[in-house]
Amino acid sequence: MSQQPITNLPRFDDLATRSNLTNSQLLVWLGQRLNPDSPLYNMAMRFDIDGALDVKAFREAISGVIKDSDTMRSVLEVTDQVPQQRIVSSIYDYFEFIDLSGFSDADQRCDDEIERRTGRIIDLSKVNFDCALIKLGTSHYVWFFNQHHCFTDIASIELIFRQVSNRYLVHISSESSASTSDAAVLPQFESYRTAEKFKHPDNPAPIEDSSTNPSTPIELYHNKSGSRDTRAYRVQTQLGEVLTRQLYALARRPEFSTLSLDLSVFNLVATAFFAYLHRISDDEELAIGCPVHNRGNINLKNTIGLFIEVFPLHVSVDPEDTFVTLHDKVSAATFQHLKSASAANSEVDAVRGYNVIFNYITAQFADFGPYPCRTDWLHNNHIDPQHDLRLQLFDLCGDGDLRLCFDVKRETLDEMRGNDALFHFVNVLKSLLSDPGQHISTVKLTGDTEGQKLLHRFWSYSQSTVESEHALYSESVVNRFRHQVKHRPDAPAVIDQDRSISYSELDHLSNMLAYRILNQVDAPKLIGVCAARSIELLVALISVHKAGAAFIPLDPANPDTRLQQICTNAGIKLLLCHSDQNHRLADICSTVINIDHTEHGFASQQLDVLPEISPEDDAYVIFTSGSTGEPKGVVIQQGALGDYVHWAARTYCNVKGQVAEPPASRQGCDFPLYSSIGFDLTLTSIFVPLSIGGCIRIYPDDRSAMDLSIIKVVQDDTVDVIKLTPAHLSLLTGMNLTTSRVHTLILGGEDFTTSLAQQAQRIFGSGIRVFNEYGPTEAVVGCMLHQYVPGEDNDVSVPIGHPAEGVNIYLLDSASNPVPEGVTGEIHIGGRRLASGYLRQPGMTSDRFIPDPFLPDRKMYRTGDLARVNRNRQLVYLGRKDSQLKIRGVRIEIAEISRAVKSHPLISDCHIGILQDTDRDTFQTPHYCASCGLASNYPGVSFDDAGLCNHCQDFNSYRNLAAGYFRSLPELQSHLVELSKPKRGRYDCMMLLSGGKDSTYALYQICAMDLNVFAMTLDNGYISEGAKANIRRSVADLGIDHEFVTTDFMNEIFSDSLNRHSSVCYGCFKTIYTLAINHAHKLDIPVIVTGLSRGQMFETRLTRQVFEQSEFDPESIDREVIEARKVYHRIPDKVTECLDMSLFASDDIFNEIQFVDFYRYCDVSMGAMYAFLEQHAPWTRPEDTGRSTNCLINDTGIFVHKQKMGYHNYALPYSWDVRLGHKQRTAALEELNDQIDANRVHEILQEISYDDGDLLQGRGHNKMVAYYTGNALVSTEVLKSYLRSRLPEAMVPSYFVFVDSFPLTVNGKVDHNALPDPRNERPKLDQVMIPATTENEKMLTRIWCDALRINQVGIHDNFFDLGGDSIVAIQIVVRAGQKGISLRPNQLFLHQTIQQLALAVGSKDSTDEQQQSADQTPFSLLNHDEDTLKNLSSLLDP
Amino acid sequence: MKQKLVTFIQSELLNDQQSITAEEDLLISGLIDSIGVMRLVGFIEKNLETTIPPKDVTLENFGNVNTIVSYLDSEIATI
Repeated sequence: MSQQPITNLPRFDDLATRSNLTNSQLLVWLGQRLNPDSPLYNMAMRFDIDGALDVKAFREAISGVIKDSDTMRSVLEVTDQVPQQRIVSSIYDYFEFIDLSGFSDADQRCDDEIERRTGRIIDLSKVNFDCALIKLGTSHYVWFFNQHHCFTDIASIELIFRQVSNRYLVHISSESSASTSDAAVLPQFESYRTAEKFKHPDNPAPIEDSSTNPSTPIELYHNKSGSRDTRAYRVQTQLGEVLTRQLYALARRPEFSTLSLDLSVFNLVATAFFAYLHRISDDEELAIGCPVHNRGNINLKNTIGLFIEVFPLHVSVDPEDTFVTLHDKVSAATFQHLKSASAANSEVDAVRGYNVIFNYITAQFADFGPYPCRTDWLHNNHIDPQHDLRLQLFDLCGDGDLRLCFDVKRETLDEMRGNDALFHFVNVLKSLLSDPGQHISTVKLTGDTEGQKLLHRFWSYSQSTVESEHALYSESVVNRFRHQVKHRPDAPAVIDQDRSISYSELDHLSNMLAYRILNQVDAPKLIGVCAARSIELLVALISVHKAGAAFIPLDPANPDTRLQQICTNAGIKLLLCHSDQNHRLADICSTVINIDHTEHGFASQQLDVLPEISPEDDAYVIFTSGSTGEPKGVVIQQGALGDYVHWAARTYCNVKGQVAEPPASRQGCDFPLYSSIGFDLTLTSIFVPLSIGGCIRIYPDDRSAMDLSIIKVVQDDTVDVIKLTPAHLSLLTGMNLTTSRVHTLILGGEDFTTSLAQQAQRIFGSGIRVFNEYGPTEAVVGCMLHQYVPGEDNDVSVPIGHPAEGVNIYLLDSASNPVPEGVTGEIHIGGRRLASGYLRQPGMTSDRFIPDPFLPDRKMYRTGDLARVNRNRQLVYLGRKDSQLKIRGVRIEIAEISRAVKSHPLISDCHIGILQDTDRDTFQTPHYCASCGLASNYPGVSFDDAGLCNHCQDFNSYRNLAAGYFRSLPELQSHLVELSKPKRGRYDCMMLLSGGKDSTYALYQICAMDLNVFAMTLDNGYISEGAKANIRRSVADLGIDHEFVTTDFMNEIFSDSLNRHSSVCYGCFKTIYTLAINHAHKLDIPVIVTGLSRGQMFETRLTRQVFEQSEFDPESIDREVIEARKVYHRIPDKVTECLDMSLFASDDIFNEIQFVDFYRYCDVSMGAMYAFLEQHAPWTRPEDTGRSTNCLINDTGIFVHKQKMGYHNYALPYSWDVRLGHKQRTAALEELNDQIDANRVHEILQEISYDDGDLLQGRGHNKMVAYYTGNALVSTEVLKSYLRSRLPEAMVPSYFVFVDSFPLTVNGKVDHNALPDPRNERPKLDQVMIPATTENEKMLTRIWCDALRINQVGIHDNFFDLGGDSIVAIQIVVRAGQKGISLRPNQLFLHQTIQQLALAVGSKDSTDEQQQSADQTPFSLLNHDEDTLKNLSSLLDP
Repeated sequence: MKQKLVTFIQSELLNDQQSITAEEDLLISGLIDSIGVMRLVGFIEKNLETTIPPKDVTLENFGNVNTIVSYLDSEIATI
């Protein structure tokens, strides 16, 4: 398309107001306006009429229709860019009669003429259709009719056809009159159009969930289109009468039948289509557009004009779906959409927002007049540019044979692939018809021919071609080495800094060690080698082979436990090691040979004959981390290793054969040995040079910074070929190595991105050869290869290309069918270069090494890696099958995100991490303590063998001691009496009455003590009516004064409390306490009585640590509680912001008003409590709340807490109730596992203006974090908006973390575990982050970071803005104390930034003053651990 | 309800071009099609603030206005 896009069009809604076209018409007009040279809206029909047509009558018939239909006479006038429909009284030049009957090639001429006309642009300012009658013979006419979609649809064309046909009949039967009385009643489009224009749909949003309205188009075979090119093609096939009958039969079956057969057929075919789309895109959230004829009544059915509207069909496909389960979803979605579909409801976005359309056309064309007629819908070879694929399903002639068409945008798929695509869909539909119970993931997409074709493309091994050369390939690496020894004995084989040994020396030394091995009694076949990278290591590896054994490399850099685990798993008896490693494994291996000094010692050994090496002998066992976490040993045989080395040498060093060469070192074949020997990637750097006469340069372990040895390698510039991981390569970014000797880089081990390949070219110059080698350890280091081609490889990742010699790659679906090009499949590796299995793991071996279905008697290895074939017919690696990341059903391409992040000018490198919420996984079923029922997902809980939790175990140890904390009811009475003297006001005490059983019971007991009691209840807006009634009845019954208090700010407090504590109770209780203290002060009440339960006291105050003190002192606990109260009320939050806090400025209030916890003085079982209330009080159980609460917002708090924290906030309190016998375990568990109505939660959260978007969206989803390096830290907001313009929303990471460099694992891959957890990131503050400068500031910053669990704190950041609270304050005090800084919690509230605090502790006076006051009020809990501290600060919490 | 349905069908589905009786076949006669019935379902759901399960939308229940009303009477309590 050559024309420039038109950019200055009015907006759609503006057009809609100013134009008299319907919205559907406007959309079509707009599409045409944007593509003025494209006939994309031509609806062209060809009717082949078999009969001696009366041309004049035909013409009359058409004229009649034109005369009677306003649509036929409509033209468009465009003024000021706005189209207006105008009806003209008559039109001209609409009909042409072409007589081709005289031509011998009439058919061809006719086809040409029709093709020309189908592609002709219709000038809507003159006429909206093109009509021609072509005579091919005396009884064969072709009526060509082509109308612009702006004025017609398929039903309209059917109507025109019928009208013309009927009128023709009238004309030929009654010569007398041209009047067409019966056909004349054609309803006019005008009335519909006007009505539609002024209609205000009362339900304007027919889409039930607009948030899921996906902006992500379905990527067909993973091809993006995105272009505005309209060129397209149609591929089509007949379903066939048999299958069509089957389809109709299935549609009539009760489980698939709906209101009408058409709708049932639609649902069935849509089901197959969704299954197909899922299979070729991997997407699980799929949305397509479906045109409906929108002619809801007979009147509209008889109106010529454009009525169709597109309704969106959105279905969530589960890969586990069968056709039946998917059909249920499809029919439910259809039902939902059609219910709300009505005229003028068409969503503009619905038409434009979907790149895939399914159009089921039910129109049928009968005979024309008295003559048989065949109807064909001609494709105009263009398509709406936003559409990539349209499935058209119709049976225009009513033959009982449905036609399936794929209209495909040419840019998306070429015609050959389009043909395959239609075939794949037909296969899916056939599968549905033959077995609706089939799982959609197992449907075979390809036919046998295509499957064979696909397979062969990735085969380089077949039985016949290869066996003959087997000996050459499978020759052992030792023999290859010996060959080099013979040819170049004096050439250097290994250079380790200032030491160097030649090929003959290496041969000799390894012979010596091999003899020593063989001299062992029962020389084992499996030998551990544990040594740092050194000459001795290489001697050892070769000697093991020479001794006919296999080595197990043990990298000394690994932790002891890992090495010991490997030795034990492998049953290693003999270990070759450096003496400094001796102690680590001596316990496990019975024999250890020291290899420190290979030069000396065994020269005089008896020269036995060394064993022959057979290709079936084991060569090495490498342990890889399995997904289970248990390392598994991969056993590789000599033949397979030799095979790999042979291929690698030829590929990377251009060494073709083993011809004799000059006795010097072979040029261009020197490798560095700098990576871990526990990693099979390293074997390339050892055996390839030794087998071809190259030299190994050793870079010893640099324990502190192993990562950096690659830098040393390139700086030294003594090697030619480097095998490295992408993470290694990115360490070289920015270096200029264009003059380096290195000619080849072999990348392996991780996904290799194109941007990194480009970097390599910049670093080493354009002459560098960059290979991407793919292969699991199970297929010997590398089995697929692609050489990076700059400019050609432009996808996100460099392809992994094609199989190596002797290797077959099969890309298979879950039912082991070959997948088509562009469809994701699992890589299976066959051929001759496979591991023999896993050491001592026959089960795992047979699970992963399965019979090769394509080569009899061979095995193939199931990799668990996903890949697909790209446009260049190379394989592209897509990641692990078991760690596929999907966010909201869309598969996330990590590499694509990473590339987008890196495109930001201030960012140089990026690594995407996935935060799996495993540590707070709410979806795993927890198990529960056998005694108290505490769930295993509660933080820090552990269980003993009997299934008892640590809290129960602890409690058993101090249960008796704890009894000393509790008192009796008489003691309460005397205590209260004492506290209320001298009498100050009217009341002796205030009771906090929630209206629940506990506080009501307490109230009754206190009133029995002959005290003047005032009761107070906070009405937080969510107290149940039942509870309020209880309260009113109880206080009336007791005859005491009572007041409901409240605040206007309750919702803000709830919302704030949810933000800070994931709980509504925290804010509610702080409000109660604050209002109570204010109220008590006003009424001069000296005591406030609470209904805190014993469980809550144990939970918060009476913790294990308290009883570990030398002496248990209840009074010190009381003192601490008072201290905690002071802190608690002074923590700034919504409560302190909204309520009157003036009383709390001074400590006096805490002396003036005392708190008494009723249940410290009273132990009563739940049963006794209920019995008492039943007998003595007018109290009944409220029925309008959840189980044991009076508060209707409680469930909301629980829901949020579970979502955000992953466990129930009542888990611990209830466990205490159970432990103390106040609640039954089963009842507690039942209550904790109650389902909470998420909709109700959502409503309440809206009421209190809490933004739950994150909460509801984040449920169960993994979150992404982008770690990046670069010039400077970029704000998260900036990065997010930058990425939103480049990526779909689902692909924008949630977190961004700036790092200096990426930590690497010992194998040179980015170490995910060592990257910081961004959930610990400094929150977004208005305050610029200013780092600490003074020593005090730095130390305090570290302490704050530690306690706040964030990675950065600026010196001006406010403690509370960072999420600090009393818990954290106390932790900071403790940690500061450990570092010799004396702090009190109050200081943190006085000095709320690092800078202020540093000044405060820095000034000598202040320190003294603080020291002094700290001495005066000993904060004994400072010695407790964090749990206690946490409990302390929540000790006012219920 | 019966009258409401008749009115809705006449005005919304038949554009006031035709009047119907409560006994008149809606679907079989081709008076309205399955999409029309769906709209009718939408209309009922909205009016009665109820949900009609897809499996209930059958020819037996939605054949004519009378059958619809008796279906609603028996299945939907709110009438």
